[in-house]
Amino acid sequence: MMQEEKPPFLKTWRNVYLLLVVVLGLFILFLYSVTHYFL
Amino acid sequence: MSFIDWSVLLLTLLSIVLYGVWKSRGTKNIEGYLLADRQLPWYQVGLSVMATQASAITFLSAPGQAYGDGLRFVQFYFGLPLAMIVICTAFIPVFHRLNVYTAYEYLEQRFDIKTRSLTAFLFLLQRGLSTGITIYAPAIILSTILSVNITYTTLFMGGVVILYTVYGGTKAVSYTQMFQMAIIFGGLFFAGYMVVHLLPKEVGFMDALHIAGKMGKMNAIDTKFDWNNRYNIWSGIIGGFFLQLSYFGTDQSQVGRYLTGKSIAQSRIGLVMNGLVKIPMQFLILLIGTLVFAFYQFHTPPVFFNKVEVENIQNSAFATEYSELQKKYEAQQVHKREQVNEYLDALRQQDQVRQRETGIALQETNVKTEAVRSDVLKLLKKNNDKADTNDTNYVFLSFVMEYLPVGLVGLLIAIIFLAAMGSTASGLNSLASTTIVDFYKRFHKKEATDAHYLSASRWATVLWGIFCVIVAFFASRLGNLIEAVNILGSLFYGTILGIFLVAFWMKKVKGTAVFYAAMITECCVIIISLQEHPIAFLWLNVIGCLLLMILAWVIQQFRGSQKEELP
Repeated sequence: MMQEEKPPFLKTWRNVYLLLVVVLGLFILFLYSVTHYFL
Repeated sequence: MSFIDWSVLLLTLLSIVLYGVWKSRGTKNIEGYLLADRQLPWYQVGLSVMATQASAITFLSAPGQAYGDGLRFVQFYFGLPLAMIVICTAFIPVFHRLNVYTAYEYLEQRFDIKTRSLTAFLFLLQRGLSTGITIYAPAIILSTILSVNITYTTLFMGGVVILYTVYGGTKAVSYTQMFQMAIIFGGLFFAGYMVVHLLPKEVGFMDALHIAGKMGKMNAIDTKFDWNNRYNIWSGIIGGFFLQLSYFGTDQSQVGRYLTGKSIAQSRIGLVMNGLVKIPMQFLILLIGTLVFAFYQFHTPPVFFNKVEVENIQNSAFATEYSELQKKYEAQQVHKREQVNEYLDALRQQDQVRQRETGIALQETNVKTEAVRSDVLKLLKKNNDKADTNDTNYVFLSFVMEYLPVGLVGLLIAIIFLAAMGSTASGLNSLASTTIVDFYKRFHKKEATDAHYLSASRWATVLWGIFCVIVAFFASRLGNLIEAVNILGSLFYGTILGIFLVAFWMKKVKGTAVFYAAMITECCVIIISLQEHPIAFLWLNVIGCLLLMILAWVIQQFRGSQKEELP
């Protein structure tokens, strides 16, 4: 069975996807604070 | 536009187009024409994916969307990174392994020819209409800056894009999109900087945001759950997830972009890049619209931004009434400006009591100003019931033409054209691919030379280009374009996504069950969308997808484990 090509950073694909989720969460938090700060 | 602006515009466009055509020379077969020989690296895949989604509509309509409705449209993209993860894990390996040209080829192997054909047909209908809307957006610009009838500018824009796409194919599209995105990012930062720079000397970036916030434009996150509210965090994450999953996972205009990757890893990283960059990019574009709103608190905006409609009413029997409303609006804007300055004064002095008082007064005046604008819209309709009363597509354009310095105007107009070309070209490319691979080659001409299919692909591009131009003529009735194109997508994406998810994850369901489920689901989605108080459009993607999956399972249960008979 052919070995799956590794990502060029973060060693595993699971880590790469985790990065996406973390960045999304952080950005939502940022936007939430922006919304309430300028209300 | 000045001579310098025209020069910047034409030079930018010409160099990009010539570069793309030069890079795509030597294309001899449909593998090269449709999929760039599957040799592109991740950054080209990523930029191509982003450029395909970021059409002229993004740059023309999104700032106008924020000007009128605030930042909340950004929630629409929250599902995107999650969708990228699912596509990377489930879709890309399957498409690469099977070496398909289109996403729908896979469906014949998994189900049967009728399911493949139905899905491909739904895609062609949806993408054909959307691409027509995408051609209309730059046609508005040309029409406004040249004061030429929009019919002629639509024909011109359509013609230019058809020529460019027919000649170059996917390679031309992908190579040019790389530079388009670089110019687009640069131009956006410039535009954002200029809006702030043009504010009065004593008003800074944070002041502008405070003013916008006081009038409800900094409403990025809405946590309240409401089926009828278009943009909140729930519809964005859940509904948006389904829409983006369908768009990137099953729409050939995107599948065709990442199938050009030289390996699974390259395609994946391209999509991951899209997932990381897209939301901040959209936020910045919307923020520009919010800053333009703040800018117009210090410079009286037109009561209605669409000059063509304004001219119509000024030449009608309602001219006097319109003039009076315009004067009333301008007087209120002057009063609002004083209140804005009072509010800013209280803010700087950190006088919270005065801040609250001036803030409330400002909000009340804003409501009165909006009421006058609403009267103007009613008058426009009274004069002509077919009048286009949604001017959000003209807000940013009007600002750019009137206030930005020479040179930058040309650059920003060039950006809007480049975005249009990139997106329309991807659309036409994908329409041609699906027509040739899923219908022409599959049913009509199963054996022929590469040269024949290449020629057929070029003809298919031309014919779809003509169809899209015809659609563009009707696009003026659709209101804000960025909403229109996503509402249109939401009518079909749920069903198409459901078909693919059944294909991947419900192995016991066969072709006939999913085919009938798709027909019933599509009818249901359309009926729901036509209700008097329709559900917010993002939820249609969820409903379509889940309904199809459930129906397909139920129908398969009734059919039992009969063997499928192929037609």
